Amino acid sequence: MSVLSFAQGNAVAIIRIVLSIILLCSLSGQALAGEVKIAVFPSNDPAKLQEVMDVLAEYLSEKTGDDVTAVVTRDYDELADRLRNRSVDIAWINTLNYIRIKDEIPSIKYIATYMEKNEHTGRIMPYYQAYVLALSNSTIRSLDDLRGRRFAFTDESSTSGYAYPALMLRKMGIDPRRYFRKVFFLKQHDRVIEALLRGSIDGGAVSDGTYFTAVDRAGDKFAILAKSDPIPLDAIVAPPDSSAEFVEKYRQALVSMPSDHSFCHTMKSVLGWSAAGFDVRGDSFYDTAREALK
Amino acid sequence: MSLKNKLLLLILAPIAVLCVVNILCVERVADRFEVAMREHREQDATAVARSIEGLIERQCNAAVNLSKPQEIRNAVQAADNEVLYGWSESFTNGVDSVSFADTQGLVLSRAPDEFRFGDNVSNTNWFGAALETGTFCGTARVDGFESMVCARRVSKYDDVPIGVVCVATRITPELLGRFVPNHTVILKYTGDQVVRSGSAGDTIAMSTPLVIPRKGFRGAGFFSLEYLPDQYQRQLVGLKRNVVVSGVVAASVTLLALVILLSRQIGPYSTVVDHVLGYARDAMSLNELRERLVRLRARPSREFGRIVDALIRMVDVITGNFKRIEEYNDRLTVLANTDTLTGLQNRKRMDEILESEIQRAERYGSPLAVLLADIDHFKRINDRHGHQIGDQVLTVTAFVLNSGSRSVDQVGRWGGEEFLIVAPGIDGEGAAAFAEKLRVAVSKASFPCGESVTISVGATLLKPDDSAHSLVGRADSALYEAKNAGRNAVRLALHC
Repeated sequence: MSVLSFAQGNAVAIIRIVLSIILLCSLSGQALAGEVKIAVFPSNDPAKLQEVMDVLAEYLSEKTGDDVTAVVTRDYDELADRLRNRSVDIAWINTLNYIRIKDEIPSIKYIATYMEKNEHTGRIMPYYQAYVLALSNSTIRSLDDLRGRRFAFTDESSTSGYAYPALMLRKMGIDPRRYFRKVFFLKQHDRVIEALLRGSIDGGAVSDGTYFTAVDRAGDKFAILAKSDPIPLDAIVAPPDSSAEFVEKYRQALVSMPSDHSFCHTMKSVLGWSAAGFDVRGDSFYDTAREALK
Repeated sequence: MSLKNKLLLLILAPIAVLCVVNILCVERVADRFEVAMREHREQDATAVARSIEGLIERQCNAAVNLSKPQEIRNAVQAADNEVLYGWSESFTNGVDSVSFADTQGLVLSRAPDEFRFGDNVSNTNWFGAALETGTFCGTARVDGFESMVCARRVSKYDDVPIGVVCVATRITPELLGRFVPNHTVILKYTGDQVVRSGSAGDTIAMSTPLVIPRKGFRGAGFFSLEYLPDQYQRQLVGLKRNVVVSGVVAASVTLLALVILLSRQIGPYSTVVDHVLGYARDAMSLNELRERLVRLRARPSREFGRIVDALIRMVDVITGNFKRIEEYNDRLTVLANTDTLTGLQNRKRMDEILESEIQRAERYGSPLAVLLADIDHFKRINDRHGHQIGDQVLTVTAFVLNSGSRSVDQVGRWGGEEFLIVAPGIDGEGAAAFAEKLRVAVSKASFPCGESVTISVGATLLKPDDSAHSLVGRADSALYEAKNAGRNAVRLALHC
């Protein structure tokens, strides 16, 4: 019997099988064609983040063969939401929210940790720091001078823009709500720099990357009033029911990115982040943060 | 009224009427235009007020819309600059600034100047009013600029204030310019400074205050409208002036020209009339009239010259006629006084002469002699030789008698063959001699009858109280004596 006659004879059955496979595949949440959506949290100008993430998406598409697209969420809540309801396949999430979400959804899959090159030491590390800045030409020389003044965090969900600096202030006996005259939330790190330069605030908390970029851009106009403990860098995660193959595939893709890849250059040029690739550190890497933010 | 004045009136009256009508018409048009302008301006004012109200409405709506959403209320409480700025940005169309402040007056966000905040606005009137009463709508200083402001209190739970939102638009010439319908209307705002929608270089035709009809609008300054004179209005005013001026000028020029023209053209005619009337009234002689007419002939008009020439010719004709009349008169007089046959003065004339000579002699006391001569046997000559010869005899006798007399003597034919001679200044002797001379002259003269002709002469002298009748009577008596004495004789009567 020929293949054709076999097919003809069992056409209906063949169609049934094919449809079932498609159904199964779609139930698993991953299209056969490999459409992957990666979401990132809005720590900076969404347009810039989009630009940068598009480069990452392209890199991942090349590496994995999937059709990867990037999306910038409105805020941290949306990112967490989308992870919960599986409307994204990968999420680039900052430390604070990783800890929170991992706490809420323990089965979330850790893929990798983002790494940066420390401008100070030149070493590539999965750590960064939070700085409290003031303008060097102001009368403010220390955190003491900030009493009764105007201060800015970025976002309550920001690790370096809020969590670590607030922790640092509390450790010094400073309750931000009472100590400062007013506490603003400016959402994006660059906005804190801009507000500082414009004299609308007297002190602000930003990431070290933001500081270095600001110095490059506007000159060394800033005084670092305090530095935080090293903060674990962002985690790349996948929703709970992602397959192990999927996780491994993307882990490999990320980790194999050279530290001087165009993605890293774009990160630096557009966002001012000294991106230097990814490393696998595991969930326990974030325990120090858990401790600090308890 | 003289012709001149009549003409003046006749020509000026219509011009005056025309001018007055013109002026009235233009006045009426100008008035109607004025009314229309005023209405138009009222409409403009209404439009401007509505425009301003539109902006106020938009601002107040924006303020209301920015004070209500929960996300905003949360952001105000949390001092979330980014959320507040994001909301504010979408309301910055058409206004200059949208800002949020907390209850202490600290600015939480400002749009469109994204990174300028953290300053304090608690000492502004709009902040205090909005925080206390819930809204502020009016003009106030925002960021150092006088602006149209709408501020609203932001509350949580609708009664606990957490901040104020402020929507403001600076009062600039450009803003004011957006409210006016055209460049002839200038919107003026008088606050700390004066701001105008356009330059007021030209004169202002009208200025009216503008009331913003919105309830509760608190203006630190006030609005007013200034109107530039409309170009048509300006033209109309110019036209009015032109009509009046040209009317007056036309009337004056016409009057002047008329007066001059009439004086020059009609005057002479009046003068002529005056002269002629003067002559008619006997105030001047014909010669004077002629002289004056000749003097008038030098005037410009040809027609007038012809009239004057005609008059002069008429005067000449009259003068000629008068002369002729005089001549005829003279001739008539002569004829009346002359005896046709002899050429001597006739009886009537001799009567007159007698009277006048007697009077003269009596006045000057000078003597006067009267001779009466009669041709002897005249009837016989007439019968013998015929009347024609008789006439000739008479004529010759007259001639002889005349030739024989002095120039002062008056010789006249007294009767058929009688002749009277009045000789002034001659006394008795002279008279006798004179009479004798005459007798001899006649007797020696040759007559056409062939025979000799003689005369008898009676002479007398004037006596006091003599009349012509008594004088001649005495001469006649003397003649009678001479005739009785045989004819060809002279007798003198010296007494009665």
